[in-house]
Amino acid sequence: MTPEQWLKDPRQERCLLAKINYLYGGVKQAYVGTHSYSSLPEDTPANQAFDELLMDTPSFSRRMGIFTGRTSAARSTLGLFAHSWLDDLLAGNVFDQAVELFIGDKDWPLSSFIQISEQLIERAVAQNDLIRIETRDSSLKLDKVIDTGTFSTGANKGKAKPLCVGDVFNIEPVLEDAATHRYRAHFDAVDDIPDVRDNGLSVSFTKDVANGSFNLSQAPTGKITCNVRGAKPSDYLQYPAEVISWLLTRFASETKIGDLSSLPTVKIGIYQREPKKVRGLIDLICASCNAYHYYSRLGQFNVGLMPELTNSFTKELTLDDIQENGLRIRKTIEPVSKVVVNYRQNHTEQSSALAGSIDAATRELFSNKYQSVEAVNDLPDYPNAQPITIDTCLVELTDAQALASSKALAASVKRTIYEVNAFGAPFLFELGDEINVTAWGYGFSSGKTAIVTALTDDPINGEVTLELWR
Amino acid sequence: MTNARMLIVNDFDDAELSLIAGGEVGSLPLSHLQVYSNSRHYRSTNTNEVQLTLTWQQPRILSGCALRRHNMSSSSTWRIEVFKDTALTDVGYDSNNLWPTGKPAIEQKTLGELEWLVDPLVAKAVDAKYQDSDIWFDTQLAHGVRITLNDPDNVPGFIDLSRIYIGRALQPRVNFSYGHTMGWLANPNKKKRSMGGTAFGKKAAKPRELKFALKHLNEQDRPHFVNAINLLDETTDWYVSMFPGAGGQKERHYAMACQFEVLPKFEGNFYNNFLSDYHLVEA
Repeated sequence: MTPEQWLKDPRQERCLLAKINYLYGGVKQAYVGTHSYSSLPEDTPANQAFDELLMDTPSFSRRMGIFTGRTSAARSTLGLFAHSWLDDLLAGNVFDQAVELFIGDKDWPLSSFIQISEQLIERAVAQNDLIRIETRDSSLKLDKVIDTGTFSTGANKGKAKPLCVGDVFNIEPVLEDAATHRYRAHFDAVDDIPDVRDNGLSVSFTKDVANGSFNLSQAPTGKITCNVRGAKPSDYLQYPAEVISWLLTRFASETKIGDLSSLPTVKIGIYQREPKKVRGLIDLICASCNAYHYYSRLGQFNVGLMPELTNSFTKELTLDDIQENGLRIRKTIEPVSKVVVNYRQNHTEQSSALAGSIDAATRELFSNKYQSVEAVNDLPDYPNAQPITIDTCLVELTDAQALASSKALAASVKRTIYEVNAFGAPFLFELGDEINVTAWGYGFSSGKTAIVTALTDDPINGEVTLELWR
Repeated sequence: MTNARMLIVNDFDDAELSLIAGGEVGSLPLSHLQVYSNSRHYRSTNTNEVQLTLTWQQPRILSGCALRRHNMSSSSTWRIEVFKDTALTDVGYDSNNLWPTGKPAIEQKTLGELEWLVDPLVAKAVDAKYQDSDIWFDTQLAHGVRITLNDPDNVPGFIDLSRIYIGRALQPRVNFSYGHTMGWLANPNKKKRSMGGTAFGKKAAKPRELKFALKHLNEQDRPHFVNAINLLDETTDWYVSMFPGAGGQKERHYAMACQFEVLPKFEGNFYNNFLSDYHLVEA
């Protein structure tokens, strides 16, 4: 029996083992399990007892926004019997420490167990003789605020330096030194600063691209803004894959990054005067290129393009895989009349603070937050259908138009979200998979494909709950 | 075959332990034997001979010893020597007097239990990965014990042992009454049916459950049982053998490390007689 066959067999007695890291005078480990278990001399770790203290076993949930591109973190909780063997864990610090989970038969050597998860701990709470270890997937790393360093002198001493990535329009740089009229657009090197304006009029300046800054040739008279081709750690970053990779490695200390090559090569631009969390930027980038991101169960960052129904599949759920009464409609999604995509963000809206000599067209350009394109659906059966608007970090009109068309097509018909309770298939499915479902009801009796948009894996009970979009 | 025996108070847990031979894996030391846990067990580094000693400064009354959850092979043997002194020189009991080459650690099927043409002449009474062994002897006043395990044919290359029980084996003068039961705790996982009609259920551990009644305890029995049970609760593990000396499958099916599901009551139902119900679950 292969591990996949064993996982899929709902009759198997499943032994869950957990290695829990914590800090208590250095990094230590607690080894617990649902069964009494000790590893063999040839295992790693060797001769390790796993205390039978794992009372409440975890399930793992995650969800993707089919329209937003945002993926919620997979959270779970382990309930441990509060035995004195865990006193050090309870007394120590568990935040951001790793939990590794393995599943297998209690008579297997540890080397044959299947690692099903690597998560990070948010907290440990003791209550009624139970220690609840609350974990989430490695996307916890994405919740770090981007650290760009702070200004050491000047009017903005102590404040964070700005972040500028890709091709950005009309950003308001941060004053670095009033005496020399020095402004900072990015905390590090940039590719270029092609234009600097004072109240909307181009002015003379000296750029220092190695430091992401420039000096005005004269004192400013109004609001200083500029256009920038941003971050250039070695090469200029302007496409989603390279920007996400840089954000992850530079600011989230992430080393496990999957293949990002499926992301389209569309130009993007992002500016934050006060840098925020990595997650927000990656969410924005994915939403801008019709993609989504998630962490695999083993802690690897991955991306995928928003799937479209193709009616072809590699995985399926049959009548014997689905629980009795295990298929229901969760909700329906009405079609939308129009998709508006906002692109080429104007980072400094200037309805005022513009020189009087600026012409009307340029004034309009500086006063609008975005430029927009739209794609319209012809919906005679839905005269009351509503439009949706998507803010993006896209730069080019053609890319924005393509996104609008794609979103409009996906939202051109009424969609249904189904919920399915299935047996014995934890971890065989992933977000974005198109699977074939054969079930009684809702037109699935002859089999139809649908896309997995949410799933909850319950490895101990050998069950999985799927949300399917069709 | 004698009446049921119960090692309720475990004198092993406060004995001073020494490992004389056989070695120990650092993460699974000998001291684990004094802890109730099936995962925190002792693991030897040698299978030819493991020898450990127990001593007590205060004398103990001993009449039984059980090895709990070991992985020794069918050809393995063990020996227990009970001493009247802490120097382990004055022998009170030596199991080798009865089994000169060591007592088999694995109970074998009796002749009547052998499946002819299927079983070899020497076949385990219970085919399980982990086995228990026990030995009963005349009451000894002891200050020390030496236990020796021999398992040169051990396949994994190490001896695992979860627990040792040793102490006074309480034995009612009149055995438990008919109506006793042996079974398994119900699987807590409910079966679910698929859309296709198949009923799936998840396997679970099957701890044994014993129920019996001692209906004829007189005032010579009662204090010993009450005093012993008074020292523990429903979370304490101890050892019971309902058919000690019966041999074969019957002895093994009815012997186990256990815990009280409910502490027994003693009902005085007529003059100088007490009855007491026992509900035990495998530890």
